[in-house]
Amino acid sequence: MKSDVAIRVIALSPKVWLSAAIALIVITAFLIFCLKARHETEVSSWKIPSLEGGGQRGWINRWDARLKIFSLMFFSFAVAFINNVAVLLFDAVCIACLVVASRIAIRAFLRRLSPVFSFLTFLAIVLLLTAPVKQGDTVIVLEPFSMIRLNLGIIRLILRIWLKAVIIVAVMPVVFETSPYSITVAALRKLGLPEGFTQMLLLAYRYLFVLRDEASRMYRSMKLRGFRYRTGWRTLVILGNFLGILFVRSYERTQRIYEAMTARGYRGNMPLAVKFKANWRDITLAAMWVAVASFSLIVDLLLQHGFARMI
Amino acid sequence: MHDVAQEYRLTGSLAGKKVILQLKDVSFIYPDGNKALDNVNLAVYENDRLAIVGHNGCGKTTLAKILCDIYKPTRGSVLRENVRVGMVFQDPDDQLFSATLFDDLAFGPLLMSQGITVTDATLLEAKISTVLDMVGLREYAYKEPHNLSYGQRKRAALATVLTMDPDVLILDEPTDGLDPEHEEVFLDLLSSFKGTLVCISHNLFFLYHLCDRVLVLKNGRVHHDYTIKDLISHPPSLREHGLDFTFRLSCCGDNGGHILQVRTEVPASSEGSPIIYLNNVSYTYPDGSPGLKNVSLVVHKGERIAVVGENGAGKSTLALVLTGILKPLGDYYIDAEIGLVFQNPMDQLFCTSCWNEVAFGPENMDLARDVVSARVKEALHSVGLDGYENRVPHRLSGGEQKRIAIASILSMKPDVLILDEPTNNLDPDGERQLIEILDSLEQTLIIISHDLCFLSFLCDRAVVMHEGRIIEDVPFEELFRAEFKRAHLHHHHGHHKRCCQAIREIFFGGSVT
Repeated sequence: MKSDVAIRVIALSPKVWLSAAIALIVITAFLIFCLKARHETEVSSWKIPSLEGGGQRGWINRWDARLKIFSLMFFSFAVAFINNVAVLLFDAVCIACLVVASRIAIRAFLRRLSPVFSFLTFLAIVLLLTAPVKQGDTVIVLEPFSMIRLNLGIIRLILRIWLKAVIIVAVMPVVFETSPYSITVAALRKLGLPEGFTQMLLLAYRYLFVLRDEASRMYRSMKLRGFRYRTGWRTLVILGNFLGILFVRSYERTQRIYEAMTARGYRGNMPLAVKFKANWRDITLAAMWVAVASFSLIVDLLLQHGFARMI
Repeated sequence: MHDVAQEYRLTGSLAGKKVILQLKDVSFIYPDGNKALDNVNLAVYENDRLAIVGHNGCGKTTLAKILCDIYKPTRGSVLRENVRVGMVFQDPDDQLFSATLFDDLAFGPLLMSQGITVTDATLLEAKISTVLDMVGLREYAYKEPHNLSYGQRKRAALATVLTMDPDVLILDEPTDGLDPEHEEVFLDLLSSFKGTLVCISHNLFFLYHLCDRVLVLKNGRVHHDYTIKDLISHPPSLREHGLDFTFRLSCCGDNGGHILQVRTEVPASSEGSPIIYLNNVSYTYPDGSPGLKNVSLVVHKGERIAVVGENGAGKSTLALVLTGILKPLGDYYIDAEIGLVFQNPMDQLFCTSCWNEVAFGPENMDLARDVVSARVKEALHSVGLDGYENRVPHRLSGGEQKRIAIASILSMKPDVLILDEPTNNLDPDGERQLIEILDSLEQTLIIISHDLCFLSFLCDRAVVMHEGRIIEDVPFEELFRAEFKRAHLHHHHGHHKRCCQAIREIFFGGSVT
């Protein structure tokens, strides 16, 4: 009882927290509706997102891929270091503007964020229910459920994690969906990623679809011959055979691809069909994002350590 | 005439031409010990039009890869007269490995150091545009290859080699899986190619149009080196190498029209309740592309139906709807067990032995062990593969794989058997065997194929599809009426017919020995 004296309690009446909960449910339902609705350009039921790059729709699409990746990566790393929620909110607004400007289809964008949302929601629930309340903490009590005490410090922490994760993940669709995949990988190579790794990235993306088609045709043929999942050894053997033959086919295909590449002159180096040429607009855009990131970092540092002390 | 490894006689346009590729006593042994080529001697001439034929596994592709410098011979030597050799692989997915078509087309020229065209991006783009125009894929330059149709991918694979300006173009089964319209496009493209052409194919009609000379391989050795007319007019050689396509000539009339074959079984009557009933059935794929549009079809027991139409007409979608894999919209019922044999048998074969493969279906039906065993034996017998129980399906020839795939369905005793492009990648011998096997079955047959001659041996009813619709449902012989063809067959069989006529003249004009 003694420790309760040091804990500050904010009691929320049912009217207040119920309204907030309803609002939250409505927003979540809307987001889920958007995610569930089939997008016109959805590639397949296996949900491998397309990375077509969207042609040349806007200035983000025309932005030099090297500068775009560099500046947005710098921004992402900066966000990872920021702790102040207000600064993170500012960065979230900035990235939202970028997403809107890049004209990415909102449903595709939300679909990419959906795994992160699921993970963060689970994390938030665990943190809220398990984090201890210490002396000096502020807790929120939802009346009449006084036994549930939500630590305000933990809510702030959750908010921080949410904002950081969403901002950083939101950068990825902008990077990958505003340039064709091959150009993005070429830019990564120009930025110093090992060539072998970039070759693997290119080939993996291309053959993911071929492998998916082969696997789905094989699975169809199994289903047509009466295969159903059962909890038995036989199902495991069948699935083992399925994966084994898929591996053998993939292995044989890699050999043929290598031969096809060799026949066209491949000796270990992939040529770049892209010629990068940055203009003043590309550089200005990149500088702007580096400036936003630097500004956020400095403000966060000042807010953390106090303006006066910093000066 | 039947002289083994006879030296090719330089005649006509090749007389006086220089040798640009020469193989001297070339042998090739794979790391697993399989001897693919044995003491091969071959001279390829400037502007040569060489066809390479023979049974599956006789070393055709290995020979092509040695000519292309992908493989180094284990023994012997290859002499190249400073020529650039390009090869188009059988499966276009092996050849299109970049993220976009443009990148794929640029890959070769950028690596092959073609002087100014390599360094100058504008010239390279112009070159790629020209080649894309040639193969009719200009608007797909920045598409990902997996978003192209099979026919488009085949043409794209050819384009990736054409951008390299090869002096020698080698093609491995260029017509495999193509509809007649695409076949004709390929024929036009290759006919206009100025350099030397080496083409591996089972399709003698296609080769007859394209090539002057034919190399017949047997067990890794050059068995004959003929002019193509010499080979075609020599039935014993054709039979010996599984190339006897003369059964195809029997369906051709004297004036170019086709004669319908007489089926051994009496066609089913349309009386009684149908086993398949589709009324205004439609199906749209998840990506929004239409598969079927208002399709109506009634099938009675014992019928044999040919489903024809160009690539992308909706034939395979119809098969998947009939098997219940795809759930369409509309009014339909299917009162029969349906088995589907896929286009590529390897999509269907994943077990470690033929016995397991054929037993897979009956075992899933929870039948008693002895019943399963009896069904496996019966199914293997019906496709002529007795004794194959312990063989590994993955290691069988293309024709045998196709037959195992059919057996794996027959063992389930379906009421209706659907076959999707059953003649794909089969040599003429395999095709003839397949006709005999299918003709002996009692099941209702629905055969999807571009091969009208093959269908004419088996079917008595034809369903013509176009853009997801059934545009005609007629007795099979109607297909061969000229006015019907013009009006309804959106993929034409022009070069097949021309070939048929030319070959018939060789056969029936007295030049056959």
